[in-house]
Amino acid sequence: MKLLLHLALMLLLPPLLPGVINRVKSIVGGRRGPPLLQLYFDLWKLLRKGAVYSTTTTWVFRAGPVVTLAGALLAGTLLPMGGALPAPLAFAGDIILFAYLLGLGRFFTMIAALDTGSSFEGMGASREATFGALAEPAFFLSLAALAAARRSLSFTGILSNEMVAWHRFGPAMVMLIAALMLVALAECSRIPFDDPNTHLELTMIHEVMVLDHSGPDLAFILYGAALKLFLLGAVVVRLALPFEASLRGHVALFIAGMLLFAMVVGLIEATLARLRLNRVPHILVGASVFAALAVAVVLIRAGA
Amino acid sequence: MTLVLAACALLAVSGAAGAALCARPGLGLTVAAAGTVPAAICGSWAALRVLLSGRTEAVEYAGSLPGSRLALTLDPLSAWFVVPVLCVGSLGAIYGSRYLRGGEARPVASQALFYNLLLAALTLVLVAADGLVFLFAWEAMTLCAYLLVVREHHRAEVRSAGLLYLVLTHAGTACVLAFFAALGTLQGSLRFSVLAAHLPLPAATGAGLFALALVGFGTKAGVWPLHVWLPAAHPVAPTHVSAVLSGLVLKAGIYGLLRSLLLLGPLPQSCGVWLIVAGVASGVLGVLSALAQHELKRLLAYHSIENIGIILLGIGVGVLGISCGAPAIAALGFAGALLHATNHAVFKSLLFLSAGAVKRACGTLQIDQLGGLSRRMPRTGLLFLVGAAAISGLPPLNGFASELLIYLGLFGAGAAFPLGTGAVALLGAAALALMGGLAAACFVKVFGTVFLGTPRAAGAAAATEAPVEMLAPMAILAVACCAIGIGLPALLPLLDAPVRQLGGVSVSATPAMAAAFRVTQAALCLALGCAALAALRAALLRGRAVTAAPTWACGYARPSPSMQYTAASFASPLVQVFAPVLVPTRHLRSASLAFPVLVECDEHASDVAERYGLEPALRAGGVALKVLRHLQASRVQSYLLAVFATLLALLWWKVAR
Repeated sequence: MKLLLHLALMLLLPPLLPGVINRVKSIVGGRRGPPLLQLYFDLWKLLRKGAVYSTTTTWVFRAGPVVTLAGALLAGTLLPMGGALPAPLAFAGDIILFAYLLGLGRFFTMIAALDTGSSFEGMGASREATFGALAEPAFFLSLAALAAARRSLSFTGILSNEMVAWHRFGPAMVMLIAALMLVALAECSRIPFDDPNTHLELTMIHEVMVLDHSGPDLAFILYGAALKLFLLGAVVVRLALPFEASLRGHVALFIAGMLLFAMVVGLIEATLARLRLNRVPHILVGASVFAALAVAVVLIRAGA
Repeated sequence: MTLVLAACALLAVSGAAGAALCARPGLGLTVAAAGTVPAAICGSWAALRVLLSGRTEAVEYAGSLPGSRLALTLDPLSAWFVVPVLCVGSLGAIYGSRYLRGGEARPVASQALFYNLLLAALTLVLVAADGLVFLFAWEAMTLCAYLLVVREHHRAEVRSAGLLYLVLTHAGTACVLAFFAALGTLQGSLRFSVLAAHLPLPAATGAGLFALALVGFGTKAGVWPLHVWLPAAHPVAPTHVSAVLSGLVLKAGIYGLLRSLLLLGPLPQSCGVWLIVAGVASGVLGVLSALAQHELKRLLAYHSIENIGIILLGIGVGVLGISCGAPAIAALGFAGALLHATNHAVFKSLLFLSAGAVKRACGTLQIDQLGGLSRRMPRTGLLFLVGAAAISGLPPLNGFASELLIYLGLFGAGAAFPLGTGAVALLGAAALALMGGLAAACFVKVFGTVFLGTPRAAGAAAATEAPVEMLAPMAILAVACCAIGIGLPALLPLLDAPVRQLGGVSVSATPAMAAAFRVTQAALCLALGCAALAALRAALLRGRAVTAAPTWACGYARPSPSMQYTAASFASPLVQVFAPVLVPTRHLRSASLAFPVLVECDEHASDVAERYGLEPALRAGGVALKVLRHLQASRVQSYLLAVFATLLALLWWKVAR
């Protein structure tokens, strides 16, 4: 039952997040915006379409969306959705597998982009590789701080009873939320790192890597991207809303938290401009510094 | 133990037989390669027996020098290294027997001899149980490797790379010699069994000796900044030799370091911290330098430095674990280091052998001259991709398995150890994550530029698939990459005996075992998920229009191969971010007139250790040694006088004592 509920949340909720983000952006911008469920409609339409494959591409191009989505789905089974919904696949060390499964997805998205031989897609892959590599230390330092604070190497241990951690390591938790938020925005190619709505291929990161995908492949990619945002958002939400409740209360709290997360992302997108590409590393190093400070706070407090 | 010696003898005999057949080099190479197969089977069988039972096998023969005994021991630590050395070495020999065919007769036949002797010497290094035997085998290994590196000695850069290798390796050997001499003087014996059983050394002495070992064995292993010879020497050797040098000979350095840990006994915490620092430096700087390379084998050579860094991180966790009294964490660190040493032997050999196939097909390894090879060499492309994913640490392949163990150790150390040490361990984990991200970036660059897209030059356009004798060894290595990654729970018990020897606790008693089972489950889920999604896509596309069209070039109708993104451009953002440590130089010829003729831009990163460390050191050394030069260039009589004076001085020293 809990397993089914977990899978249902993980599978059905993600496409809602981009809808909420776009709606918030539209409202702040004084427009009405697309329907909240736009991505569901898009996915449904794409799944029923044929496909166009570039003559340059090989099997690598077709493997890209499949492996990326499979990796993200598997990563989802490692993450608890609220304290009462533990992860189906939890073990000491699953935080590492989670990060590397997302890395696997990134690797295959990038080689699928390079398979087309297009200079634009190469450009996107190059940026993705750069920012992905620089986001890794920030993510791992955050995980390290959480692991040291909770004495657990599993998301199920780290993301339950968060109140304990707030009482003991409050300042560290604030810095961790900041660091993980930045990592989530960078990994999911949102503003201020990348603008998903830009029109110019030269300035894109994620969107330009998937220019040549169409039909079901594009559906897999769009869904996978939403899922990735959902997963990284879920970590932030669980840290920021450390309340305990009944099963029903947990699910409600979690969904509300995810919607709130999407609104915050929407507000950030509506109010900030995209950074110049050569500024992005500075912010990612900043995220690492936040996480490193959190590590220091946790270690000092734990030792005291 | 007898089986291991038999393996060495087989290697030497088959190598000699191959060299004797110099009139028919093709046959000679086949004979020498054929000899490695039974040698690998015998040796691995003996080693696996030791690993499973945990019992040590020893033999001892009277030596030819007065007072010396030829003591050899196959203990679990040796056995763990013997298996990859013999198996990967044998696969390399089979590959080489096809790869080298077509060269001139004499050097080809002698190559077979040196190759087999290298494997035999390496095996002897691993089973030596006496400092003297170890040093003899060590030297034999170094010289065989040198002779293999300088195969194309008509090229000046090959000669200078060989010389650099010879000089720097011997500088390292000098430290190893000093290490054994000091230890032997302190303990009164060079026998490993005596040295390991002695009372613990004082902390300062232990740390000093450890520093000697780290420098000596670190030079062999290619630890930054002692790695300078490595990216010069490995790429110029024939490709199967590069595979063995990077995959196996570097591991002799790691083995030596682990052996010296056993000989020194418990070390202070600071030694563990230094190992982690050295690991982080090697790892991050190695992968960054790799990212900036334009030649495939040189790039792979820099990745060896990165992987040695990862192994050092594991050893560092092990040493910290012992010194902090946390044997479970030490077991994770040592297990990760040992497993990564084997994994690196497997995937790095696979990558080098694939690079050899590319070289054979296209005639160049300049990455930006290649492209589109996965259409022309689909099997090589797939095998290279497996190696690339494995070296990037992606699940479910073997690189992930060993990195997972090291992460578990680092995170465990961060939570359990005192503040400063714990912080170092957690920063080590962050550095390992950075290395993983950068390695993935680097191999996306390589795989994308070499195998994907369209050919950038005529050589790549005319490429054909490698012959089966070359593909088969690569395929076996690729299968090993997958098998180690997925079958980790079955492999961990084999690690128990060597890890217990190093850290006192079995690795299957740690949380690693549960994690390994879960990783296997996850790997199967991942495979199922990929299959299900692919089937879903096939079902969705059935009956719908699936068309082929040129790549979308944003409205431009005639894209050409030269418009593809190059490897240099791909790496450029990261090179710019890390410019302070890579010190890139850029040559730009830009359009200045109204009718520009040629626009060029190329960027090269320099090796910081070479530029600011080795070159000034060599210059200073040259100046210092000038004093001695006139001694060397004088008459025979003055040499005799010098010899006589030395003898007198020695006599006086002996009498005075």
